[in-house]
Amino acid sequence: MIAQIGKLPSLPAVVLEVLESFEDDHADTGAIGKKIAQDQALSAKVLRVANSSFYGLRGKVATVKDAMVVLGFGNVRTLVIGAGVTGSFSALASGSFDLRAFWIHGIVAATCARCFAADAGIDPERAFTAGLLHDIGRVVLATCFPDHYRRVAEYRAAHDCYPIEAERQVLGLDHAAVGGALTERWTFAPVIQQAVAAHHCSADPATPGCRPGLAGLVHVADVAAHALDLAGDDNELVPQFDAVTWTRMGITWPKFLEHLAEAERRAQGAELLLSA
Amino acid sequence: MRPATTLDLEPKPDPVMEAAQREAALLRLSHLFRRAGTDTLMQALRRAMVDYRTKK
Repeated sequence: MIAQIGKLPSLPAVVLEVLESFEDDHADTGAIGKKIAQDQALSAKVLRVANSSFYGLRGKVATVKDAMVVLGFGNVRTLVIGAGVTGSFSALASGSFDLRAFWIHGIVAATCARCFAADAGIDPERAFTAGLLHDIGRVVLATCFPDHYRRVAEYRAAHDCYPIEAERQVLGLDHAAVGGALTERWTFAPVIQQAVAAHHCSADPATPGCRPGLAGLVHVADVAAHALDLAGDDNELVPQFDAVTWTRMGITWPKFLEHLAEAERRAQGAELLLSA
Repeated sequence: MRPATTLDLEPKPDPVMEAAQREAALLRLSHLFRRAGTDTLMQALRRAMVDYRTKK
């Protein structure tokens, strides 16, 4: 199954270039806007969102550069990642995979990761990207191996277990490993590949503690996002929380709840970015 | 009779409604943490979320 990851389409080059630009402290809006403008689908999406009633500027935003001013750096980055990933999996439109719930969870985890990043001394924008992509393996499993994914869902429903337990039992691997392989195929930074691959390490008894750094941060952000329960999943289940990772993060409970409140505020309205 | 003021138009706290909302929040959190068992950290997280949801 992992070998078939290599046959997946590559992420559009413009998506990676734009993401790299966001992490470059010296990049300017104009340069990023030019890159986006080179991709017709991306440009259309950015303009559509900027001209939506949410921003109250219907029909007045005519250029990608102006749209970036209206939407802000963070929202444009979310849009670019969302459009790039969704566009790479055309089967998503017709399948039963709950894409809306997937992206809401991703956005919440991403905003949690960005909030926690400052406390952990990690680049907040990189943390946001890793948080947004951490469950990308589920998209691969649902769209590329639908029959397998259906059996995983049936197993999970029958045993009310963690999704990752059902994946390992039925498939012999899990969405974290698949996601790590996909981010490697898409040539994301190695630290993001590792974060995606290791965000559930606490569920593996052979690796009792996550490695510190971005992987641990994404693990905590994922747990927080499930606890916030904003994706509307009736079967939502807060995953196992690794105590070593929590201790290494050095976040107090009051601070944790402060970050959750901020993440919840920021995540509201973000659904618009991925549904336009 | 004095004219209505802004204070008159603000919704008054409904203790029955608030109690029902709190109960619903606690039930939902129990569901979210149904696999937590006796894990110390999971139970601490659950208590933190109870605090978060009931004091908002």
